[in-house]
Amino acid sequence: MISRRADGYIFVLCGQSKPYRKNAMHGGSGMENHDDFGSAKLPSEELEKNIQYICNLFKGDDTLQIRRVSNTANQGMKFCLLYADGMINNKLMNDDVVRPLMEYRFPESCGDLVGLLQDRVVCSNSVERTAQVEKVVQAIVYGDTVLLAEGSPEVLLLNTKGWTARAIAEPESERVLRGPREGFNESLLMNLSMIRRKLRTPDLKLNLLTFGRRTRTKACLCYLDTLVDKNVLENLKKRLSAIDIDGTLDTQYIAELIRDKPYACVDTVGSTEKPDVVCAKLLEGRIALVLDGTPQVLTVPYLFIESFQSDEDYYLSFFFASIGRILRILAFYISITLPAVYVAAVTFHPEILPASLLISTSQARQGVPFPTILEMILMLIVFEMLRESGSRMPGLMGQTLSIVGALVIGQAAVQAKIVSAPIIIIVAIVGITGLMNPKIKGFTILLRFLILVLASMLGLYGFLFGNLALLGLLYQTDSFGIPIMSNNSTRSFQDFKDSFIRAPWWYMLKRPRGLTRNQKRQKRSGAAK
Amino acid sequence: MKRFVQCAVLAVLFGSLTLLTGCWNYKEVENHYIVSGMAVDEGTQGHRYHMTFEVLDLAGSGQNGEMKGKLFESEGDTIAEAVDNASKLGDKELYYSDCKVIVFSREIAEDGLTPVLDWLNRDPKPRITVQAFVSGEKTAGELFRAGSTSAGGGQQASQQSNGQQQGGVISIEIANSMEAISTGGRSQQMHIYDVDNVLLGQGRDLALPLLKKSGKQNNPVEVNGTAVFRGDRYVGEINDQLSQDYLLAMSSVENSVMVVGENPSERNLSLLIHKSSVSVDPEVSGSKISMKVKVKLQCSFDEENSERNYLLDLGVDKIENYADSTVKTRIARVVQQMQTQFGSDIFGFGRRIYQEKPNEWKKLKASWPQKFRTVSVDVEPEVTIINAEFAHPKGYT
Repeated sequence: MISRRADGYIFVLCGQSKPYRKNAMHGGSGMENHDDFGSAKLPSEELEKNIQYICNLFKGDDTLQIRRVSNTANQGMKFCLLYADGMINNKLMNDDVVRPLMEYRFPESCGDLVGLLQDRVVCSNSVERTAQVEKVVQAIVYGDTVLLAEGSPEVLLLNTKGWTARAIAEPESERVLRGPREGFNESLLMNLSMIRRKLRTPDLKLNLLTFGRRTRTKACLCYLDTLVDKNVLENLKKRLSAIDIDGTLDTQYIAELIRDKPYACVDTVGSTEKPDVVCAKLLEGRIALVLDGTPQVLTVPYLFIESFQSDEDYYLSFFFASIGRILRILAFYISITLPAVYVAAVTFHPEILPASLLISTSQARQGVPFPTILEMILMLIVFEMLRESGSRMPGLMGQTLSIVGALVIGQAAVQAKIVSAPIIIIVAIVGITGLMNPKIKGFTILLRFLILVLASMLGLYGFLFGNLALLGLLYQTDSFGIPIMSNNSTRSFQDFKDSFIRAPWWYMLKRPRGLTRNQKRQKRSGAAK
Repeated sequence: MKRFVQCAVLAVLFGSLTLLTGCWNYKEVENHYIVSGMAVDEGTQGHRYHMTFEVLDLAGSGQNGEMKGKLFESEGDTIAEAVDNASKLGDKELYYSDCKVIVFSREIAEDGLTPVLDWLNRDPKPRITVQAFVSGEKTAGELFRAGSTSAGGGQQASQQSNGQQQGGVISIEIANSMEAISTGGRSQQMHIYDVDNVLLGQGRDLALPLLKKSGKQNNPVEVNGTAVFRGDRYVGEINDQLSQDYLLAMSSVENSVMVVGENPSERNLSLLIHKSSVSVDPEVSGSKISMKVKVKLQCSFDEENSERNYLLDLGVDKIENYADSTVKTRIARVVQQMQTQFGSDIFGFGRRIYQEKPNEWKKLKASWPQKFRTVSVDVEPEVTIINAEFAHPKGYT
């Protein structure tokens, strides 16, 4: 069923895949679960037996460390600390956990030993008391320390996380001339702290979630409570809870599982690496999903015009930003349509070409063996190969490869009369304009080829059909209930102000319609009008 | 699943529909010969028409952009038949949409242009933006051969066979030069739609530019004079000077120079015409028809070609008067030529009567060629010199 909501279209990706059915919401997909302990508890009160049990779970894992500690005052008190080497902050563990355990003067007999430890002894900012095996295992694998005490079936989970994360740096793919240069890194808590620093309001809600059976990746939903559309939030939460997957290493996994129209390449979930962008979107009533282990943050819902927006638009003057935006939209359109129009005009409709263009094209094509369409497709594929091979090479070599490859191949091909010169020009223009909008690169390439094939079969009629189909697809797609073209088809100026142009801030009085009920953004500005 | 199958079937159906069009109009652009000029002559082998087509030979053209032309000739009883016969001659198809020039020979024009124009108007292949000319030589086709007989090393000798090489492309040169000279008061661009307008309208006779061989190497064919028609039949031609006078009366003289002088023998003052407007007011009273032609010219004083300082001595007003009398003389001259020699109203006086006094026109229409000879034309020129370039005044103290 292709329906407007994604309810019928969420796939479960793992060893076996099964389509989502409305009833099977709770993970009963019949695959084997090695690491789901349900509500199993630790086996006994005896310390050694518990230690043995946990060590069996982690058999083969040599980084599991066991540290037995006794108290100096009371020799009978035996504790054990279990942790994974490399995940903990050693100093914190030594000073605040081991030392107090050794030095605290325990009374002779204490009723609730674990409670005492939690309240008085252990100097940790986050302590949880549990007997569930599930939680114990999760604590060890995530860098917490498990504190077992003799004679107690419950254990304490202490926060001692201390691994190194990548330093905060400017994201490679979202460079700006002006504006903040912070980028997210792979640590969930650091990312959340960056967001929190910009939105210092209790309105900012951060809901923690977990994804992936084997990765148990932590994620966080962020939104501003008074601004967000509750329907969208409910929709998102419903889709997220239906995801049942082995592991999520990047937000792209999640994005593909929750999107509307999964087979169409139209993005309905946006992603970004910069905290200021995320906060701007949160201020407009959107929801952000931050995933541990990746700097890419998802934002939902995602309008089509956002593919052409760059965060720099808001840090530069509105005039310059408007020009840039118009250029980008124009570049997108040219990148899609130029090969098709050229092929259609030259092969089916030479009458529309002015005489001198016709003559020079005809001259250029003398002696060329391939038909125009084949030339075009060949050179487009070659260009894509060049681009792809240069994109993952380190630094300078990649750029050199692309430039040298393009020049040499293009020039040589024209001189060898394999392709004609206008084709090279068109491929170069198409390539450059295609690189202007990196967010919809894949969509652009797909559309370019589709419209080219249509135009090569049916001339300008085919080109027209392709355009109509594209418009139909775009206007039909919803992102979590909100039409993705809602900014571009509107009667009031307020909605138009941020689409093709970027209106000055004193005009942006309202938030985008549809994203939120709470529309007023500012009461007045200080600018002299 | 069922829905998926339905969608898949629909997709396959629509996809195969696009393939079934069989590439309906697909044609590679280098597989055409681009026809740039046509010439219509009387047929020699019993046919009515002998047509010459000048096409661009792009395969023979080098990288330096030197374009060569090729000639194809064919005969036929109708224009369409001749065109059809021509399409069988070369190895590639002939493509007419970029044709720029069509030249009629005098014999064809004497028999009336209407039959010849029908194909140009009706068939979708040529466009009605083709410019029409009349050949001042014996035939129209020899104009396209003019380039190959000019002096110059490496030119091939002209042969009466199809597909021969030319030195340059005559029709493109003609078309380009018409752009330049049509705003210079030497000649008027007459596209086929202009010709249609004249022939379908009332009270005006056709006048087409005349092409002649110039004998020069780099511009073998040039526009020299105007061919005068009565209706659509050729009756004669007027020379270059009279053509310019005619255009003065038709207000197509912008950016050209008018030479005036104190008296007709002393013409040494040049005026550069910037704007011109002509309005013709007809007056019909009984059998007396008169036209008041008001000519307004805005000029700037461009040159005084003598030792005497005319501008300071005479002043602007006097020079304007000289210009007025020059305009009057010139227009009167060409009108008189038309009235006495040809009886053909190429100015459109009849049309003005039709526009202003349609009732009178109804009575005059049938006998307008005779009546035209009796029209008295009253020229009222008004030349304004708007500025003068002051070079160092000679002899001024």
